[in-house]
Amino acid sequence: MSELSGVQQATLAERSDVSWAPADRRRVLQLALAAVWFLDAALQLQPFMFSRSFGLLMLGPTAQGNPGVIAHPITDIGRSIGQHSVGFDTAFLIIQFALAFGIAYRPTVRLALVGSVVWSLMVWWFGEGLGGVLTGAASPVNGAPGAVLLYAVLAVLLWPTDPSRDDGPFTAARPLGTRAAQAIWVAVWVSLAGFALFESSTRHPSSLLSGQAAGEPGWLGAIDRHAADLVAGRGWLFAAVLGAVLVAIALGVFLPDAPGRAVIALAIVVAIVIWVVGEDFGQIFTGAATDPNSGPLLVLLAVAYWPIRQKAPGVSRTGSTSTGSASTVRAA
Amino acid sequence: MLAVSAYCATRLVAVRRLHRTIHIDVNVAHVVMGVAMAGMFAPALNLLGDTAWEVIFAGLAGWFIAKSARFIARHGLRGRSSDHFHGISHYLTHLVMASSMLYMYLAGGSVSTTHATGMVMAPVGGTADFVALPLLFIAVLAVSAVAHLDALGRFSPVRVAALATGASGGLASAGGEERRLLAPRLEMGCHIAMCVAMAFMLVLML
Repeated sequence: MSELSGVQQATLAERSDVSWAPADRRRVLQLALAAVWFLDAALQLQPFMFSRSFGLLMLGPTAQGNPGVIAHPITDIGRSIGQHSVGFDTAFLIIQFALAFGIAYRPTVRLALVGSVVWSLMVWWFGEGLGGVLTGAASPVNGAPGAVLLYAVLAVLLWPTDPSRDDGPFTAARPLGTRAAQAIWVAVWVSLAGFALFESSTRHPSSLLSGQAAGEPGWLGAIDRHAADLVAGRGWLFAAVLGAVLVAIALGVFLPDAPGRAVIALAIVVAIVIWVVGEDFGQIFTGAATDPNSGPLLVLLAVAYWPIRQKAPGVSRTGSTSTGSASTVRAA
Repeated sequence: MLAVSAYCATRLVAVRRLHRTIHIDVNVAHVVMGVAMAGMFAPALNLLGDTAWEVIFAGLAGWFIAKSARFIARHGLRGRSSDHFHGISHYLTHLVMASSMLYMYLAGGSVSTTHATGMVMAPVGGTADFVALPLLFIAVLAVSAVAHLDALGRFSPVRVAALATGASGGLASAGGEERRLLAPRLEMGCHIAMCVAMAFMLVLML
């Protein structure tokens, strides 16, 4: 191998497996998405998931309140999964490990991201009942519009692009352009605001929060109960404040760098608070969670919109830092 | 798990003969963890008592704490090792893995139970009091597994050959060091397999 000709050496240098470089910002976000899929797959290994209850008591009930055309397939599939729980659950965890490893392994990242979108949409319908958005029970506090939908959104926003298009104001702008990425951000956060303001569940946050304390560890249950006491009898006020904050976050994507960063930071804080207090970490400690819910995905989404400092004119984008090198972008 | 252990043991034996380098502590850890987890999956394969395993994994955790402290003293939190391959996360990850094993023995004991899957497993969730701890461990294992998969391309034979011959277009790297490593991608594969198996065990403790 040490006697390669000049032509061979030049060919090698052009190949992406030669020009491997450390992960840039988008690649780090892709890896974070892969890690979440890994966690989902690991959760699918819980004993509960191999039982009939997974299909019959967890998936089936998501049909309730949905229109018939949405609900009937959920009921049928939930029943089938309940009857063949071991086989189905094994298939589910293999698919999710494949998505995690496919995104993490550079040569298969595109295929895995497409798979991520397809699988997410299937789970959103048949596993989450469209996140309850048609049932009147959706609330940003309990994970609406469905955590798994955010996997699909992130897969699109983190799609690998040509290095020459590496000029967006934030990472999520690269594949679709700035305006389309802004539209997606607004759609996500305005829909959350809509659920907060117009769905009845958010106007009764006390019962929503206290109802989640059951089955959680003592410290988390105590947080739920304290939060429920705090908002008891103030449902409208809570919904109005939360809705206003979410609208402000939605519009923050149009702000210039400094205030834009503040709004994105606010989005991260809100997502973490929702994850801890509203979602109880996706109820992961109950032994029956299939994913960590929407909190971590909203944080990832916000990081993808974090304004990137534009380089000074004259400084090459393939310049000295490894995170901005063309080889890095090509690899991811 | 036993296959992973056997392979890592073979690496430890073969590395001198082949005049290559490996991470000896990491391979030793993989051998021990693989044997221990095999015993957790199937009690008939359990070679040692719980106390012995706890001492072993406490020792391993102590070793990686010392390595982490030494690394920080030499290179700082954001520095790289002299071969440019690793940052502090390398040692912290293995510290977490050793700690996870220790936690599973301390919190789960060796009570065997058969679940709906028909698998026999040792750790039992009901005895775990610190449920946030296994979740933290699983998160670290997930990140470590995907990071290792991402880095596989770094050690592709084509790239290593190009680095050694200077055909990489000026990429600064420790090309010689990369050539001296013994089957690094297989070592990373073993690590990923360990992460998956360990996450499986920890999930049962949530």
